[in-house]
Amino acid sequence: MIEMFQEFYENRHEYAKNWKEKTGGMVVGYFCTYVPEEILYAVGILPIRILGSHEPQNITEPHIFGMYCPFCRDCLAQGLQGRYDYLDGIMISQSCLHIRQAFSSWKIHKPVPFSYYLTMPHNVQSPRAIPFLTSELGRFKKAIEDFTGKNINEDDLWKGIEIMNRNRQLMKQVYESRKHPNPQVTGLESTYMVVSSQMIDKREHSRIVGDVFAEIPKRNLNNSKKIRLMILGSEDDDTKFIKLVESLDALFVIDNHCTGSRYFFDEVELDGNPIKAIAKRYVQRAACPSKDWPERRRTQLTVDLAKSWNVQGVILAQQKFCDPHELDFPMQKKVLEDNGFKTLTLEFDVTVPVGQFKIRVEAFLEMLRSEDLF
Amino acid sequence: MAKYKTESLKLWDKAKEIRTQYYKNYAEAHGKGGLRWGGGAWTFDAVPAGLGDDLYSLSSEPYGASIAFDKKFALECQEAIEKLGYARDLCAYVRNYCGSVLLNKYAFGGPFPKPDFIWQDHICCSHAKWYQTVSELEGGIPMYCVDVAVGPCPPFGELTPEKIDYVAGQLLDGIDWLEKVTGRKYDDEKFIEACWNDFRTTSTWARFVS
Repeated sequence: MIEMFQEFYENRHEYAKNWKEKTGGMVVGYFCTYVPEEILYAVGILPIRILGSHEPQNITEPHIFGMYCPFCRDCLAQGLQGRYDYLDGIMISQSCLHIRQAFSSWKIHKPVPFSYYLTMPHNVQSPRAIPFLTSELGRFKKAIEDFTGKNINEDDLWKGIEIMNRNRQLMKQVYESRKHPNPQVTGLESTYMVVSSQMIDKREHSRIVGDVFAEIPKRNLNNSKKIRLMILGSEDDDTKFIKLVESLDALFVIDNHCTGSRYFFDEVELDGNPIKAIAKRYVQRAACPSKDWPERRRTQLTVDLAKSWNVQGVILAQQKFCDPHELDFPMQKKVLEDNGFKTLTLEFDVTVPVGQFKIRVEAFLEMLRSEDLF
Repeated sequence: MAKYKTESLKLWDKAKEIRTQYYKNYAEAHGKGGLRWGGGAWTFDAVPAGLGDDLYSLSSEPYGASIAFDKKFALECQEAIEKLGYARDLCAYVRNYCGSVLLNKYAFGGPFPKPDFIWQDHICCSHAKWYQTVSELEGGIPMYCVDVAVGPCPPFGELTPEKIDYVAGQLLDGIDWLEKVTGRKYDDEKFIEACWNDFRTTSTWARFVS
């Protein structure tokens, strides 16, 4: 059953097209996990995250700066190649410049009936952020109502919140189970579970996760002697890399990236006005480095995760040209090492240099294992 | 034969003199009992002016560009920051600036003059993170950063009262922060005068380039 998540991930477009045909509903592609999917679910739209395919391409060269990150170019390439032609709309929640460029170029070169730029504040540590985002979410709600011709009332919003929160709770349960000394879910399986949740109807995803979670205690994976690792990064659906590391007697038990725990760890509080509750969640959630300032809150969160999940080593997956992460990682590395965690920094592009990374990871794991000997 | 007749700016030497004095004022601020602050060139520099006439700033991007002019020093700065683990593909202004801080060398001679506080605006994904790094490299400098990303303005987007409140609100909170960090009382009249100077400069520049 757990293999279904990999199938969803690998057949994401077929899923979305079938969903549209089956339900008669609309599908909106989004570029960043700060997009309030609650509001899209409230109006009956299926939100799906636009992710790359990890294939080399040159179609984006005329449309995006060469020194913009590989991820945003990979995302734009999917649109320009027509793989998302079934979308009824695209939206972005203001994040980094690079992915914003992918969104803007997509709008120009692959026009869709609906496109929306949600002005998500960056200064999430300011008390002004929640009131501002609340007003922006109100404007977004109006725009989506105008586009769909449907009115969204408070009940609809609470239903959208419930859909998202339920999935978050279930995924947290799965992640909690990975604290166990002998986790029965691998890092690769967890990756497929999280990233597929960004690609399919969350209600269906939650049903399957619930069933899978019930089966977990019956599994008999022998993971107790494997080196426990954490992976940090921006967007990390590099399944080839995760599979490679886990083939070397290691196991990813936790992560902090936006195709991982950062996506779902924080829920919407069921209190007061639903729009304000959604705004509060997105302002207060575990921050992307582009929003983690002036105080660094992410570093302590990462250390807490590493301690709670009893991690032995941390891999920092540094996306090339990603300034916010690149300005974070040296301090992140220092804080982790000051807290006794060994780290390995690897520079990521769209494709992974398997041979070279294997050698480095093997050396890292050897180093971690030698600590056990003495 | 050139299509458009042109000539060197007659004021170029004067411009260079003023620029040199700007960097000198920043370095020598403490000697005159003044304060130093760091921030981007687009930061709301009229706001700190409300703290007094003896505040001097070092704007980050022009300083990064000034370092770039000195290729040998730029290379030293970039190698220094790279040795500390910062990526080679980071913004070069950031690497030049941070390298200068790390090496404790000012591009205009002497040690790097540490700012007393940071007053920044977040205009690209690197801006706030840049000064977060500078603060850490210097052992912790108080930092405040204003998020100005409220989306496109007319005619490309709408400037709503909430967007103005968001930015203005951060500035008002920032003034309270400046008073606390510097121990100085804020003078609204000095702020208004600085705003007026800002408007004069920018509109003069607009006339100049038209």
